Order: sequence, then C-alpha cells, then structure tokens
Amino acid sequence: MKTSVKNDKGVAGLTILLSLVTMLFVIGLLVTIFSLMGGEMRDATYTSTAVDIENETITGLAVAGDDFSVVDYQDVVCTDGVVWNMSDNTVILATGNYTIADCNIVGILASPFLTFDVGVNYTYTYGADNTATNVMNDTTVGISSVTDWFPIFVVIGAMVVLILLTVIIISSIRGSGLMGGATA
Amino acid sequence: MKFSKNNDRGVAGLTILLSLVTMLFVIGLLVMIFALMGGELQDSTTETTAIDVINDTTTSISSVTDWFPIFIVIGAMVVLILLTVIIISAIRGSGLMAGGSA
Repeated sequence: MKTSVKNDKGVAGLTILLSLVTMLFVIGLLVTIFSLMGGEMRDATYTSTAVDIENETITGLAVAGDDFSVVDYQDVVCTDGVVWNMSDNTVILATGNYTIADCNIVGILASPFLTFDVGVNYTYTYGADNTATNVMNDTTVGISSVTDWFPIFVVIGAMVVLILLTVIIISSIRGSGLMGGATA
Repeated sequence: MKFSKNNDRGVAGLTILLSLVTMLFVIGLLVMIFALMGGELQDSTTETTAIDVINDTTTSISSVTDWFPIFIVIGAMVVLILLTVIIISAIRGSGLMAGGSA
C-alpha cells in the first residue's frame, strides 16, 4: 500500500488560495454561460401581444421627436398611427406633417401643427411576460447573486495565507533561539 | 468492493457551490419547460376544472424560483464555514495554541 506524505512546507496555504481562485473563476464562468443561455431562452419565450391605444396625448409636436408611452416595452413595434389636432378633434393630420418610427413621433419642420398638442391612435405589438419568462428571469437573477459572495471568499482565503505566514514567521523566530529565555 | 476517497483538499466546499449553481439552473430550465407545457395545455382545453388544475400546477411549481436566492446564500454560508474550519485547523495545526485555554 502506498501512502503519500504531504511535503509542501513553506507555501503558507497558498495552494488553498490558488484552488479558491481557480474554483471562483470556474463558478463565475459557469454562471456567465448560464446567464447568457437564460437570457436567450427568456427572450425567445415572450408572448407576442398586440394592443390598441386610443387618444394618447403628445404635448407639443416637435421636430426633436416624442416617444410614445410604450417605447420601452420588450421588442415593441408601433403601427397604424393616426394623429389629430387636440384643439380640434375633427382635424386629422396628413401624414406629411409627421413621421412615426420606433414608437416615436417626429414633427416635420414645415408643418403648421408644430408645437400643437396632438392625439395619437396606434397599435403596438410587444413581447409580454409569461410564467416561463418569469421563471427563467428569476433563475438567472438567483444564480447570478452567487458572485456577490466572491470578494468575501477571497478575503477569507487571504486571511488563511496571512495566518499561516504569521505562523511561519513565529516558528522561524522561535526556532532561531533568539527568544529562548523570553516569556510572554 | 471499491471505495473512492474524496481528495479535493483546500477548495473549501466550492465544489458544492458549483454543483448548487448548476442544479439550480437545471431546475429553472425544467420548470420553464413545465410552465410552457402548462400554458399550452391550458390554452388547448375549454374544461374549466382542467384549466384550473393546470393553472394551479404551473403557478405552484413556478414559485420554486422564489427560493433560489436563499439556496445561494446557504451554499455561500457552507463555503464560508468550511473556510473558517481551514483557518481554525491552520491555527491549531501550528502548535501556537498548544497550551492555551478558552
């Protein structure tokens, strides 16, 4: 029977720190891959939903453009926009007075309706959350929180090394005989 | 009969944390698939009781993800405890506290 005796003297636990850092890197790598996979799976699972909006007010039609209220929704696309002058609800603006793109309305410089408050009807289609997307989102967020603990692991690993280094120093001093007659 | 001895010294239970993260992802993936299946089943029937059952089932198993953060915290605690054990073992093994009393 073969027995292996540990002879790595004087390394002051640096092998522990090396193992710790390597394992933390591997865990971080794995969590990154899981997060990427989870994000892709979540994005592929949203429920495409169409909603009609009526009478959304844009205060002051501007050349700089104004976002619709739904502009930040997941994968949102706005279509079928109809715009009218709010001061006279019967006047529907001709399409030459504005452009609608990416759920943003831009007034044309030559339009007589610039700075006018306008109302907009439109349809938007977006990726609505569902149970499956919420599950994958929670999973990704949950496992991603593991990285919050990495700094404290490294600090404690470094503490091990520092303690063992202190032990080596004290042992060396005691072994040298310099403190042979000393008492604490 | 063969026994395999665990010789991964100095990793302070980080293999446990690694396994934990992997298992949580697999569970999340599985629950997501169940949720998708449940949604499709729900949409494919008009029977009220059946809809309620599959809805309750999907909602219940989906709540498993609420526990994931606490699992991670407890896994991290295990690693911290094992790191503390390594520190204490190092101090005791040094012989510096041979004559000490608590």
